[in-house]
Amino acid sequence: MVSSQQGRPEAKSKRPSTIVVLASLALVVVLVSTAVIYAAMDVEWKVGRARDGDASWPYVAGDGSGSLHMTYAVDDSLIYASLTEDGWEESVIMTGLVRGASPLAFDGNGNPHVCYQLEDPDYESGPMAYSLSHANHWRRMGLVGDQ
Amino acid sequence: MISDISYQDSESIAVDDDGTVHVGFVSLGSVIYANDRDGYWEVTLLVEHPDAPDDILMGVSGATSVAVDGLGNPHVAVGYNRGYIGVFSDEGSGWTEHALFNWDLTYDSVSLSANADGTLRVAYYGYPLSSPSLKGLMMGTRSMDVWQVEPVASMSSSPNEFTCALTADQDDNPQIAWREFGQDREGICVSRQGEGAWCTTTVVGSDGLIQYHCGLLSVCLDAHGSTFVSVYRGAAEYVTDSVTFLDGISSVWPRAVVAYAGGLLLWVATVLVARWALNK
Repeated sequence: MVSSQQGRPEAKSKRPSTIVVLASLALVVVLVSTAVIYAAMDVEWKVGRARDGDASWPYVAGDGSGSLHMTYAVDDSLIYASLTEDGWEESVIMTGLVRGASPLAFDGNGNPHVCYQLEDPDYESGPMAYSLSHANHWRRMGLVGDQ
Repeated sequence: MISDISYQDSESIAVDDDGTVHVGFVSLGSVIYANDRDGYWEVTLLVEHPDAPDDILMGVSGATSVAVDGLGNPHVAVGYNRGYIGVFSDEGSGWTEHALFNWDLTYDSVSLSANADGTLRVAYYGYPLSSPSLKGLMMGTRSMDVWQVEPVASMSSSPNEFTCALTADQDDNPQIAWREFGQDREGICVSRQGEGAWCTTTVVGSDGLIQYHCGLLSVCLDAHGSTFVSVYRGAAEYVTDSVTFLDGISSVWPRAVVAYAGGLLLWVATVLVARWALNK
């Protein structure tokens, strides 16, 4: 009986410390979880390169399936590149100098269409041309409006 | 030759669901729209230059931006340096202009998008007449024949050169990539709208950016919803966002669920360890 009454105060003193410890740990876990969530939401921007070496006028576009494609000029060629599992695969749209970026769009079948300004060294202006690709074969469709 | 482009980087292209190609460009100060019907270009003069043909600074000077809405109607936006943006639409009864007035359209880069229901969005630099203090990147939305303009990102000083590109994610939340070269700062930023609020992030700083041969800025999203923006630093580059942790889970809510589940498991494990330690 006496020993029982002596034991009760010990039990009462242990319960608050348990709550405090658990509450502290819960607070730590909540903070860690918040940090994890914040990290998960945080966005890191990375620069990728479609081609090593000098290439100017880059233009990026996605097709209907969400795949990534680019156009850019290298020396005297206009290049089309697609991002595949093996990296960037290039094809030549046309050989000749271009002026400025070459906008890219896709039709419902996923065929790329590109318009571009041909460089005319004698003038500041230059004609606008248009090319499209079927089955990775590029065809220049002439100058826009020149008919 | 009507196809002569007198303003570099003025051309734009879109292809509709029927495979018709739509292009826009500025030729000798006039705004031209053309579509390719069965190999034949049908050309429309949207704006004829009002002044001397070579004096592009007095009239239309900007890049065009072509978009096709879900009904197959073509739309063309072009920035005038006389203080407004011209948005032209052919909705079945010929071309009409829906001018978006803007007191200070200093930079002629505009980017247009058209939704499935015909709602138009146009991104540009300037400020609305009613609020001169809101100078910076703006977005106008035209729905039910009415324009609504909202500030996207404010700028304390005007850049020397400004270019923007507009797209939207799968939930139709707009994303605008913009590049500026100025005395105070230069770089490429992406502004995203989610739940009505805009959030702007600098994605490429001034380091290595080259002002020449960079051309139009372009932006797109891949199948996972990641954003890609063209970058020129001497090579054909792009900048894209990726998830720091939980890589491969692209959308926000699955990431949040996984993160919360992880946190809950961690909490349960901690409680069990704490109880075990206290009972020992």
